[in-house]
Amino acid sequence: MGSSAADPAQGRAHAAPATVRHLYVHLPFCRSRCAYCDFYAEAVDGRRLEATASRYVTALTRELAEKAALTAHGLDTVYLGGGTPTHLPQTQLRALLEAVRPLLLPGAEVTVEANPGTINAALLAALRAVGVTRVSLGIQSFHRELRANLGRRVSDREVRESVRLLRASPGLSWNVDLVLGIPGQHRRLLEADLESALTAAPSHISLYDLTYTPRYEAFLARRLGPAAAGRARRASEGAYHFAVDLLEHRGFRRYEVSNFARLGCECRHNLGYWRGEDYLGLGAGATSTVGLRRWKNPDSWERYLEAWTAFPVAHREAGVEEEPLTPEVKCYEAVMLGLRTREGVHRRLLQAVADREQLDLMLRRGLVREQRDKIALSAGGLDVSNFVLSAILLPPPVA
Amino acid sequence: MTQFAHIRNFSIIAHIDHGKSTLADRILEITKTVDRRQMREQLLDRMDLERERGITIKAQAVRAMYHARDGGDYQLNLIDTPGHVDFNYEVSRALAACEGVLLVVDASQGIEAQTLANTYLALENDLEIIPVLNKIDLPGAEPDKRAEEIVSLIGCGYDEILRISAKTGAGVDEVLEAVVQRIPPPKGDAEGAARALIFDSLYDVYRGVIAFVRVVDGEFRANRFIRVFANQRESDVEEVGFFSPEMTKADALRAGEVGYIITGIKDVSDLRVGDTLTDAARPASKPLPGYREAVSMVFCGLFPVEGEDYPELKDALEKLRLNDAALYFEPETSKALGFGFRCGFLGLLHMEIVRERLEREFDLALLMTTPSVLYEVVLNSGEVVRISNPTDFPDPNGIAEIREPYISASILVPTEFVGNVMELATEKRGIFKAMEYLTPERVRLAYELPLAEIVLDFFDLLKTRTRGYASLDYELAEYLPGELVKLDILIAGDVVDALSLICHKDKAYTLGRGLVERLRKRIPRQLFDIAIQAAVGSRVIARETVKALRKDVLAKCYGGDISRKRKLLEKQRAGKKRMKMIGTVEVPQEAFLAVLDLGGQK
Repeated sequence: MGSSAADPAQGRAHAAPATVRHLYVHLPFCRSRCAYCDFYAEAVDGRRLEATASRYVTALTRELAEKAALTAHGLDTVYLGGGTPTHLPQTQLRALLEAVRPLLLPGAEVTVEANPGTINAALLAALRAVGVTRVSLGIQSFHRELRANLGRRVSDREVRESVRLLRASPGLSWNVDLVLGIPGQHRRLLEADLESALTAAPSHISLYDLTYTPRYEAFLARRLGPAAAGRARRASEGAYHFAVDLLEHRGFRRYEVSNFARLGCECRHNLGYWRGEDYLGLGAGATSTVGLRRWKNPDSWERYLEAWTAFPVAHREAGVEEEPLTPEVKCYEAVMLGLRTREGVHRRLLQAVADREQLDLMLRRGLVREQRDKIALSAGGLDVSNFVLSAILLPPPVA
Repeated sequence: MTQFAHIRNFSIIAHIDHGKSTLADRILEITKTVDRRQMREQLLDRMDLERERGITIKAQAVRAMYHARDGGDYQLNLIDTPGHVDFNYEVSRALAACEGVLLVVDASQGIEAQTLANTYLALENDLEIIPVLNKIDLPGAEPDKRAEEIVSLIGCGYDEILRISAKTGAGVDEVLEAVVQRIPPPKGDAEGAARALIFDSLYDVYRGVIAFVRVVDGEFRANRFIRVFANQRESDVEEVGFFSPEMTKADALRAGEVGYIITGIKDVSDLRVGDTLTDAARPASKPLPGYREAVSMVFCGLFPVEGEDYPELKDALEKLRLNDAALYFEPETSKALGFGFRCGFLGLLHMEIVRERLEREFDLALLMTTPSVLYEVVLNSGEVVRISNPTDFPDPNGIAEIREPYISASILVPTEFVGNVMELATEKRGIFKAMEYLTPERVRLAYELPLAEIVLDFFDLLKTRTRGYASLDYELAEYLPGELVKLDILIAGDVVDALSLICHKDKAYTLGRGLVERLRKRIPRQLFDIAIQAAVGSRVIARETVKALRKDVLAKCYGGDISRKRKLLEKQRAGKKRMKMIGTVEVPQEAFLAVLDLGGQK
């Protein structure tokens, strides 16, 4: 039974044991680290990877078994993220998915993230055989120089090959990840990236505005000089609208700030987050939210392995960060997340956390729109969603 | 007269950092006024703020008993003086309570402008001056050269100059001996009608107004009625005594002595520095000379960031004024900033100190508008209005003439920087008056300068262009007519009253240009283009645009990003709360100070 943040019964002590319908598994291993990437991942390869991966999957299955009560009502979605899940040896990846498979509800969505250069036909067939329904392919850019500006070591051939493989895999729905705002990504190159993605014909496209983390800025300063980052950031502003319009025009509906899909091909796992539903996260660095509890496993696969394979059972929680939530915080988050989507949130939920005056102002400016009992950001509002959200949301009282 | 023979009242004149407080500490230590163990550095500087800034805001007096080499026991009253030009009036009152001064000069840096000004003040008062070269132990000390400078400046004998290190204590005994030997005992009429000069006052929440006084004639005792000369207020004295260095109760304060009187008066504005106290039962016929009202030289608007804090700001200002009679304020309403106060100060430092105390001691978040001076505007009708707030300026068509205050400035500077200083003074519309060589290496320049220019950035520029070697002293000189205009700033088409300022016609363009550029950098992008304009009358002289925000998204927000994203939004919202709405535009607080750093950025 999925528990929605809007459900006030959540806070009650005697509610039925909480369960989740969404499972996230974090696989933090990559061929090499990309400078722009902000997720927890480490470059582990060769022999070391083989040894590590098998222990890591053992640890994951233990964590899954230990938390079986949370998944007792079955899983509607599973998402293997990373890192590069497909960087794992095929046997390990299959073992993991086999462990998850019995928990799946009929029609469950099972996504695996993949990078060009880490997939082949056999792997894709094997994944399909153990229940995978969807692949998210991290292309980021079809242009080699732009990938290099992201600090990403993937060849053109690998990109082409991965696209070919996915197009030739009936039964797998797939996504292309693209990044916008890369230094050097002029309008013409962006257009080429979008056209290449459209030609590849996935059912889903994620278009992420590049986040300039300190680590990435340092990389850019070394690579292109300090001025380049600022220029790219400014240049991407006009391009953003261009890209959004182009994708929508070509039949990809923007159903969230950064996500576009053919009708019915939205990612249900991610929609779960944005609808404020609970989720269990397994593996190093993974976050879980269940009822009024949020916890995060340590950002270290070594520590994760120690906790789940080396230490006595009593030490399993070592390094886990707990964040207690209140019903008010969950309500705030549900609105914050819900307003990222085209479907928006229920009017009554929003009214509980909104600054009325600001909300009215945003409605008048056309940044927020009302449709029957729902309130959502307009297309223009989505483009400046940070601005709109920080204006209209009243911070929840401190717990 | 014999009762005066063992009293010495003196002050220390010194530039900031030349070692006044350290010398005072040593004196209190040698005379055993304070225990070495309880000795805190800079004992005389009480307020935290004083300690931090290393300056003395309020004059104070400490009594020390000294057993001199002649075998006599002397009562030494050390009256502390503020060293900054803003508090010039308080210095003059403190000096009026003394018979002599220690002129303390850093042996490596030499005499500075304010020190010189205060020394001349002492000479005018016929005070005995004991020159002291301090910090002779430091490597850069040039005592012989500095001694020559002092000789030529004050005309003393070369061997009258003492050489000490207040830090190590070397030579401080000689200072005390010189105080006893060279400074004359006080004069006065011990039997006459009581008269005391108020050289400072303090407000205590429990005891009311405490006056720091020098008794000139007669005596003061507890439970007698006193009268304040200027307003003829009478009050029952609660207690008299002296500082040693803590408040020490005494049966009486007699002629020649320095101490405090707990007056029983509850409002400091009833008791101003420079005024005379007398005995109500047997009043003196004439007050002591020298009383004058404190004059506000610099004005600015102070507004609470949060409108609802207005009552707290009012309360805080009233409390501060209890201790600071020179602080002036009256309610002001700004279209942009709401309800606040127009405040007047002795000078820039005074303004800074008040603002800091309001923020620190009363925990108020404040917006301060551009400092201004008091203008005299002659209307076509011949009527003269005095205006300290640019917003209140009448329609230019109705103005016959605008006059602005000029100061006469005295700048001491090493010869190598004379060119730079002259250039700066000219830029700042200064009128050259005189130049004299104090020594072959040091020059005194005299200028008349518009106070408004000093208020803006003159100090900082003077420091920068002379590598910190120049020092400045000034006093209000006269009002002179000038070609002045009101410069308005418009945000999204609306004049922001709190940003208006008065400036010289020839500077309006540069100033306006600089201001709009600065504002463009400080106003965050919003959902629409924002025009920022500078205008004189209806003529726009500079324009900038804050481009509309077209993209502001957090690209990824999945399971692991939610807490961080939530906190980010909360922080952004908190940032918005600190903004002021000008029409539909959110303007951050610091934008209102844009004009202040125009100078620093050049």
